Amino acid sequence: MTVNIGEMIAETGIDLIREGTSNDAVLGAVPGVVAAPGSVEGISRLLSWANERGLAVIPCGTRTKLDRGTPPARYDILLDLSRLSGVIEHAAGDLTVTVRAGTRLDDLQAELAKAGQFLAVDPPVPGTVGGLIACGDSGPRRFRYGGVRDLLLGVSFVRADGTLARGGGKVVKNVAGYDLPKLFTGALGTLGVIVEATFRLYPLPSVSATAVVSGVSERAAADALSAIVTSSVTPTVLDYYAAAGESHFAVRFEGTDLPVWVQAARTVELLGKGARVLSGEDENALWRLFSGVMQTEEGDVLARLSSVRSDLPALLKRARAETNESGVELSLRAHVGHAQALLRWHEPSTEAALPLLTSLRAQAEACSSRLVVWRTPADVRERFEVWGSMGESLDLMRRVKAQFDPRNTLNPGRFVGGI
Amino acid sequence: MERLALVKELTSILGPGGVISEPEQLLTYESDGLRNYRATPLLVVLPTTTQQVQAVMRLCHAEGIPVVPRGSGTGLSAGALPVAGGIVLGLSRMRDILEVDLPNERAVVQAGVLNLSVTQRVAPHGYYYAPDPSSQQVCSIGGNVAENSGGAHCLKYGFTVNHVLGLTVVLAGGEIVHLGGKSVESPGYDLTGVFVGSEGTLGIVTEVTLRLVRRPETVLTLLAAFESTDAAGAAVSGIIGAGIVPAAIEMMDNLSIQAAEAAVHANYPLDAGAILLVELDGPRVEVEDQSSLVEGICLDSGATSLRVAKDDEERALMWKGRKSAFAAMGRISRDYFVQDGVIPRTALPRVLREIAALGEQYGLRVANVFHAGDGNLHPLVLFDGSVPGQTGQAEMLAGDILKVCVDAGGSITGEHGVGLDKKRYMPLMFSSDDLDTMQMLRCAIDPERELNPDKLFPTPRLCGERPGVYKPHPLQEAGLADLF
Repeated sequence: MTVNIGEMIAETGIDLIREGTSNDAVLGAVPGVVAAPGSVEGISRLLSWANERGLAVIPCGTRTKLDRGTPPARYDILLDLSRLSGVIEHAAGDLTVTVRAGTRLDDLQAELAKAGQFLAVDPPVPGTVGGLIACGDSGPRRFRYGGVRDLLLGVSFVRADGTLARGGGKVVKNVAGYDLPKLFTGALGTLGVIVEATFRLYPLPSVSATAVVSGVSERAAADALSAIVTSSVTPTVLDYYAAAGESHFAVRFEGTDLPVWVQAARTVELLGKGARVLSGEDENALWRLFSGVMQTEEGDVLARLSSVRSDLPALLKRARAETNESGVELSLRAHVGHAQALLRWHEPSTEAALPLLTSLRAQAEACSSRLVVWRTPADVRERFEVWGSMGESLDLMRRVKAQFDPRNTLNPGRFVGGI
Repeated sequence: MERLALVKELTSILGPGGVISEPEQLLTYESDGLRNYRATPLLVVLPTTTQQVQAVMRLCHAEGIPVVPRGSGTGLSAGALPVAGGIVLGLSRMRDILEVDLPNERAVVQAGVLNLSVTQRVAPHGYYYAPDPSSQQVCSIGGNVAENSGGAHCLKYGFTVNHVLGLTVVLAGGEIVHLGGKSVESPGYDLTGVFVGSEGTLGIVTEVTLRLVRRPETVLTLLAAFESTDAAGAAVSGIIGAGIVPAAIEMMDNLSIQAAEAAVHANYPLDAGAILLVELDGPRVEVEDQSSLVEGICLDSGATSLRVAKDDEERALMWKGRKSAFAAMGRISRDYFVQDGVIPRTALPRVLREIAALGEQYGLRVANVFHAGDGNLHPLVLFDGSVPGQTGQAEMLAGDILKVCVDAGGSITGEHGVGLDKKRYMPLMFSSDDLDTMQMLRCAIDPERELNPDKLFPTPRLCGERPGVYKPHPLQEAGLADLF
């Protein structure tokens, strides 16, 4: 369906609208137009206008996660939210912040740091606040601080029909009404376009130290994990990393001086021979190494595995063994404390990738774990369902979508079960 | 179907012990913890399995009978108040702990399991279930799920929704769905998160997968007295500002202190304008580090006395005073209403002044107990119901206090839920578009409003409607017709 830009500008009043190009593509589909409204009213008018005409809209911020999910069934308008940015209110004494959805996460953290606070999220691919919520990606510190869903207090959004609505509130404790912030977390923009969010904050730790032991197998890491989580120490991160012939089990402590050092030292005792404490530049280098799993090249396959502590080691071990057999290189970073892992296969051929993914997914689902593919070449995406089986709750999810977006305006076909 | 036939049908599903139909026995179920609301249910059913719940829901769906789910009946918002002509479905006979998985820190329990029972089961192994509402000895996990219950340790440990990973739910038509599971996240909509706090309006939860937490190495409890709530509030600000997240900070004003002392003799200083109960937990080195900071901050804010509990017994006594504060009101007043407002913590001094002014205006006393960490204020409106008109006055004062909380940027409920009691205040917090949007969820999940139909939302939304931006009919626009 072609979008008449002139008509769109006249009827929505949005001043920044241009033709879409291949640079605006989402998983191969190119939109007719890209619109960048500067206000919530503009977003509301745009959605109302598009919804009436049966046009499909995909919201974006920094575009870092447009490769997530399945290719859209329809795609007419890329709704760029980057102009909707800025902190609306930072209530430092209340440990809350209300911020516009187009704000970059890094900018928000810089602002919060001035008052010695931070939003306790560390997603693998930081983008905007809206994207953070829509994808719901959590990072290593989820172990200590919870996921995005646990930190989001309130959300304002524009529905597919242009109506502005709000759920949750601005205070840390609130049980009035349905928990729409939970519903919107991880919903991939399929229920509404997030325009504003309120988060719960934490004090920014001033000191960090990491206890690490290297050259460990998945099993050894699992044993170390068990020792640590039944001890008195309270780390912020528990990671197992394995790539290119090296492996490490790392336990991070963040807070104030004495507690961090005492706990790091105690952890080294628990970890035994070869364990050491890193801080400063050495420590940063280790965590940079781990983050390298995310630096995919064209042709790589990147997937996220969600499991439980007792099942993860076997899943990872089998994945490594099968990958070795097929001659492909695998890098993995597992947040073993809460059993979420990132796996990156380095440029596998389609013939090699498909059986590896199929096998891992089957094993995962057999123990109620989940494998979701985040990045992959088109060939593989066409033949391997990125989301995994949803089971019986899919029907309920479809019904929710049908209520919120009956005309399928928002991100149609990108989400689970073809939603 | 007429009542006798219904009883017969339900008895064939649940057995004779599972159906309550005698009027004297129905009395127990006519109210929950909010005893000024009473209604007689048509019948009460007490299933023991998810399949039985399904069979009951199918029957009720076919017969058009509304259903009100009930846990232990300790709720404080009339959420389990029976609906006229409806059935109460009690989960109290489903009280098995189905699985304890310590390596993964999970427990799977039936909805009728008591909150404290979970902790009691895993405590010998060094674990506990963190959400600890004051009623935890009697309230059920299912009830906690319905209300998203909190407790004193919310600031550090969160609420029920942060500790529930999966649910087994029976929907209005009898469909059974399993949501979530043991892993922290699964793709798709977070329906588990949506069902928690939905006050029994979306489905009947029969099983819950819970997250367990490791007991901290050290717990330190400190009682500080101040000349005023302002001074105590300044101490709290100082503690938060110092980057400390205590496990709990509770504040009580003079009136609450008086009541608590009269009831349980917790050794609270009777002349204090306010007391703070601060609890720190974590690794010993961290707690020690923080406690010296906290003590210093309290003293800098003008603490007139400071005491650290020297053993578990003393700690329990310090908490006993706080936990019995509501019940203790009976010592200093014939009747009282507990309110459950939330405010941004920094607004406390202003809000307390406004509440005091309102109290004077109405000529009624208000005692204040405050979860200072998370801003959850429990104003206790004290009155004498035997004085004509005073109950109504007290209700109005309670409502005005809620308005003050919302105006300050807070909420009408921090933990008790909306239920029936606070339905009318929902428009204080949410616009009609907001309420409409929330009800879209209900339309997706319980379109015929068979579950707890009269709770939560002041104005029901018909599910066939298409809400949103109003579009005039072309005839209207042409001036040829009008809408009445």
